[in-house]
Amino acid sequence: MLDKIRKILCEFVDVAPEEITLDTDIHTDLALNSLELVNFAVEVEEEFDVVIPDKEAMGIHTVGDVINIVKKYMK
Amino acid sequence: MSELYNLIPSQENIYTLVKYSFHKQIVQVPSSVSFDYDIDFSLLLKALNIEIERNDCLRLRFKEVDGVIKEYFLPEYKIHRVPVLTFNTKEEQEKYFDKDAQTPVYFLKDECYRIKFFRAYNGYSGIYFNVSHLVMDAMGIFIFYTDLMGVYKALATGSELPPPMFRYEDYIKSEHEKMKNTARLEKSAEFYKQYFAKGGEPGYAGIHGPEFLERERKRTHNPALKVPTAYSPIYDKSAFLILDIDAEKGQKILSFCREKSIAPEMLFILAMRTYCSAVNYRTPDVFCNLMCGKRITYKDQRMGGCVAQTLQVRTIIPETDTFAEALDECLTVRNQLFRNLNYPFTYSRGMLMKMYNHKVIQGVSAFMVSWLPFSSAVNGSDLAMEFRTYNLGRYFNPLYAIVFPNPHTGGISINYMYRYKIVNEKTVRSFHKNTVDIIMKGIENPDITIRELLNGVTR
Repeated sequence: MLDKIRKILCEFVDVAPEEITLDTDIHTDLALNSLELVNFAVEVEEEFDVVIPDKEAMGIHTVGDVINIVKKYMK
Repeated sequence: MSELYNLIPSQENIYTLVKYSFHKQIVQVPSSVSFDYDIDFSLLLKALNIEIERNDCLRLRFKEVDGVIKEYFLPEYKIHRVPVLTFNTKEEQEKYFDKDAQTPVYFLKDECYRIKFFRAYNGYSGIYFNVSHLVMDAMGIFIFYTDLMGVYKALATGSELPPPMFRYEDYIKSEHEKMKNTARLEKSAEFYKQYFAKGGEPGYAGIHGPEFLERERKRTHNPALKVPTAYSPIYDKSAFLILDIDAEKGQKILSFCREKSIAPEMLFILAMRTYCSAVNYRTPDVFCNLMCGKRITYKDQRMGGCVAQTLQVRTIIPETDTFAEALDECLTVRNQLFRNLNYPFTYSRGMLMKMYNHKVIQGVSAFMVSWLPFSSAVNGSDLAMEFRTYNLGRYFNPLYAIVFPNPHTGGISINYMYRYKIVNEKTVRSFHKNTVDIIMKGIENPDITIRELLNGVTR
């Protein structure tokens, strides 16, 4: 799952995938703005066939948080 | 010549505007940027020719095939001469550029932009650029100025050119691919259906108050009319007003947005819609348009082109909400719209019209806003610079507010373009003053209620 999320994130920021870890903060380390964050959530939803409520999507901080939320909503 | 492409949804969004005006200049963006130093214009011309190679949207051309506008990219071309103008007074400069701004850029006749270099009345030197909106949106223009000045600086100092730009042609291809994702489009269609249905037919709450709608109700003998003929292809003359927010207030606003991770445009939308509510019998339901750019990936942010998307922002906010709660509601609406960013404006507007039997000339949007995150990055240094847009002379919306940090003053500048048949200067000044007052009250005390803010509005 981490690799897939890395691949999605690398569309939004110009970083090498291996630099993205579970502890990477998508606000402070990757500087995703609100438009990017919402679209990142949409891409994650499509990739893993889940629906992430906006409030939770906006509350995401680390890549680890993304994985936890995806697991929570995965069927 | 490249492959021939259909327009992408962002360009269709812009091209649709010609339906609302007989005047072709409404689909162009005139602007200028000037700097507090002497530009070597022969070197700038060299930089421009390099920019044409780097920034492929400058090589974009259009043609009509069986009544449909198509686009393609020229492999290369060079500009051998750019006029260099010298102005002695502010009036002379503004008159010249206003005249050019109001002359159509004939994008179907190979004229996709007009560029002029100038020595300004105040000793600055700069670039005036009037480009077809099908070629660039406002951020595309900012990216163009930034990259061009980066190339100029590299030539002037013998340093390396800025990193290469990404290709708009690739973006066009990816947008056409996205339009094949019917599952996502259907999901967005369902979202918009519910969004427009919630609260029933939206009503027009213009910045000028209810008189315009009341007149329409009398004229049409329909006292229940909610959406007037806000668009007129005949009475579409526009006026232009630049009003500034001083550095102290501007910095407070920008700091608040940074600290709370809030997009500044939503702060302005909240304040502007609150003013509209106040002058329209305090309706809680205000509808406006947000013009934003679909620059989502890092490649999109280093690319020219037009990626504009009009978002229809409907906010229904009770007076009992606090400023913080209302801002949260605005952000929630904006996030929902961002989730459906690939759903073309032409589709969502068409859906709204169909749901409530609106005619093309009926418009529910009270105003349109754009936020441009300009910075002194254009300059590549801390030297002073000025940026501004110009009056197109004709416009379709009652009022369009282009809001951006002003690197010249350290504050925030708002360029208002408004149709003076229905909105006058006094109204725009009142709208501006109250917008700033509401924002300042809200950021100083986020617990203040919308009711208190409405009570504080003066006309």
